[in-house]
Amino acid sequence: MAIAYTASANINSSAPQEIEVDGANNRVYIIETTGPSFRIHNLTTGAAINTFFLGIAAPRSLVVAGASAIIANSTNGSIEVCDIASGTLATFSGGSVLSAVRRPQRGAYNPTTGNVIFCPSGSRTLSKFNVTTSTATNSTSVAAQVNQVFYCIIYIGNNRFLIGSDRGRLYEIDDSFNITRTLILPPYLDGTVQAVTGAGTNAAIIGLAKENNLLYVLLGNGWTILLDYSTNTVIKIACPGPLDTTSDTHTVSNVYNGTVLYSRGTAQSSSGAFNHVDEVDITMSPFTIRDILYSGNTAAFNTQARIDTSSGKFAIVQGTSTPSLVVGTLTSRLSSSIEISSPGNVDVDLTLLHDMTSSVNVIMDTRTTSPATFRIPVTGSTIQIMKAGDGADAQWAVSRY
Amino acid sequence: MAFSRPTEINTNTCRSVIDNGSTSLYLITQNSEFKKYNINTGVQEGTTVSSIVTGAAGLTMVTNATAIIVSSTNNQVDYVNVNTGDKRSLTTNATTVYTNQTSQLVSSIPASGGIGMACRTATGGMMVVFATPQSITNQTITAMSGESARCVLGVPASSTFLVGTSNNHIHEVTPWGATLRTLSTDVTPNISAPTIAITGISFYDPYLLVATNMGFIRLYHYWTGEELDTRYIGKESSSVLASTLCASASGYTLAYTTLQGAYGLLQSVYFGAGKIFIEDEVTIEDNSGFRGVGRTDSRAYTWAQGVSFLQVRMYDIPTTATTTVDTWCQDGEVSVSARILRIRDGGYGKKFVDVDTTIPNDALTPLSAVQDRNYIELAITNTNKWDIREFKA
Repeated sequence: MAIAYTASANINSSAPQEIEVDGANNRVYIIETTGPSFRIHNLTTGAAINTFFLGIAAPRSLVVAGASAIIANSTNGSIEVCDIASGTLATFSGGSVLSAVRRPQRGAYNPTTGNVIFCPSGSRTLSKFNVTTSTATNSTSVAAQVNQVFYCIIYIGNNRFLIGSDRGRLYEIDDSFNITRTLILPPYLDGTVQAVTGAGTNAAIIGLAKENNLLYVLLGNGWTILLDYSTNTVIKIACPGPLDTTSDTHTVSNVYNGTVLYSRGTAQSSSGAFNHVDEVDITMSPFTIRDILYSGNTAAFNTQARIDTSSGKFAIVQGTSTPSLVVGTLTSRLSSSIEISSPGNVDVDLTLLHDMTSSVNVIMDTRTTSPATFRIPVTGSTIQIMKAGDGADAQWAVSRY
Repeated sequence: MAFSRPTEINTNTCRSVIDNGSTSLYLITQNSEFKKYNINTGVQEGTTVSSIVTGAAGLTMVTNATAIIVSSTNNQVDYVNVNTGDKRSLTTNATTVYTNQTSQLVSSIPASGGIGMACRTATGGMMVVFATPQSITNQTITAMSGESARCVLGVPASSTFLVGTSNNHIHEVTPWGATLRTLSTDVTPNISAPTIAITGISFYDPYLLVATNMGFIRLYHYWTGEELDTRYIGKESSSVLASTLCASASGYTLAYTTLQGAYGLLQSVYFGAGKIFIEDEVTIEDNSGFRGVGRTDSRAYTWAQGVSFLQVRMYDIPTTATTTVDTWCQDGEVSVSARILRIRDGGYGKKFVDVDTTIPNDALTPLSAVQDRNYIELAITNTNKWDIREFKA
């Protein structure tokens, strides 16, 4: 089993909004509209350490940037900065109002530039707070498709962020809000055919997780997609989640050694079945459920998980459920990274086989750019098959490591 | 595409459907009718058998000519001759069955003399229905104490039945009440342990695939109990919307489930290689009531209760029939022994290893392949030289 459940606690909150973990200090941070407050709990035991009451109403998004928690809200455009050690608060104007829904991943931090970018409720609007200069700026006319509202954002390195919109667009942007790449998610996944141009209302993108070329996308219609981001190749689709584009949707954590913690949101409570949070492999045998943590038997909404990528310790918050805070540790599948490259660096069809002598399985099967990095198991050996071109002109290369 | 040429049957609310392994489809309706249709055209054949048992809920063939119908409201079992339409009802020892109809409320092993087994309402056992002579036993099964059946699947090779229960068990039982084996799906780690119901079973020796009310399908090595793979297929549901499976055809099964409030989802699942492989899927209009799924070698069918349309829909599906495709390996002009990896290629994200074997150095070697499927074949020699080809079986 891959999930080790350690402890749980009842934080007596009916309104947790977002969670973060801090492995270096063994802490869990939670913002909640009750109070409103910023909570600190122990990442190992779940025990409460401190609570700071915020100066802003309705906190909705939490980003930890170094020693500070950066918090945006749905009442006004203020940004509240909390010094985590002391609880000292400072409020800065100049941001934008966030939607009042509960949805994680509405802020992301670029440690290189010190910029935190939030997804406000206005169409084509982003706001930015620089933790060094403590200045907030907005753009209400990001060069995205008209009427797009940005629902989620993650930082992917190299001064780039990925943003999902309410209409199925995925935008890669830089710190200056310039769009450097746009993807439109396939429109057919909800069983209907919708326009993919103009202002078509494809399913909203409400959650993202990325490792190397592999991008895990949650849609508001309940579908999940695994893409090879380098070539826009859909590798897997699955439909575990709820139909909900407003709040309490299915959610996904950050990536830890090729796996994520996934929660189905309100689908669980509405059916009367047990809540559970699932460890999903997105890189070696994508969409295999490595483990399932059954986390309670009462209605839960706003279930969110975050993982400390150094230790594997995780925290889960569940609104209105008991327990409302869960902590534990993930034992990741042992793996290493390999870089593949093709002659001339042309795009290739890539198949990776995990060969254990007694059994051999396909662990990755995609079309990818070259060079590219993938994760492979450390046990057994890996057979790599690359194909460039098609038909009689196809060129093949096979190797084993 | 695994699902094409959809054909519909619109009739009174459908309660269960079964095929005869050929071109006939039999169904029972809420208004107590038994009907026969052509599975390819959707056209009714023969006359309607009326006044079958009230609350008809499950249907299976106990012989090539005899269908049995079980009820969720009446302690009665009906036998129907599918050729003549003759009907006989038995009540002695008969009991009601679980109310949430799925494809697997009742199953049978026609070859072993005609024995059917149904998921009775009461805990602690199953209702066993015999074709010759026509009779019923209300069979106690000790291993099912305190739990009731949710689905059942006959295993012709062993003349036994696999029973999925309300309490997270899969029992292999005989019609005489013996329990040969019990498996449980994992419920740990947990903060509070769930009670998981098994809602669908498919078996392809040695692999056992089960669906649960948690929205997962889970694959096991039946003889060791090792869990091999787990995937999502639908939403959690403790009620009528739970995921269902049908019997395996050469390692293929169909899964039919409901997404959250909007759509049904029909998936072709291959588990014959020890991993779960979703070959294809199609979303269909929502049907909020009970449902089930079945297949012949060339047609899939789904049914649903509780709507005024889409009672039964049928699709063409690729055959699972296997053929052989010769292979050999040469190093220069010399034939050599080689390890052959035959990879079925269903497109990106849909490849899996179908054959892993070593061929001798002196002859063409026929290796199995599924008809009409695309393959990549990799040969690796003892000296680690390789060759590769693509073909369609």
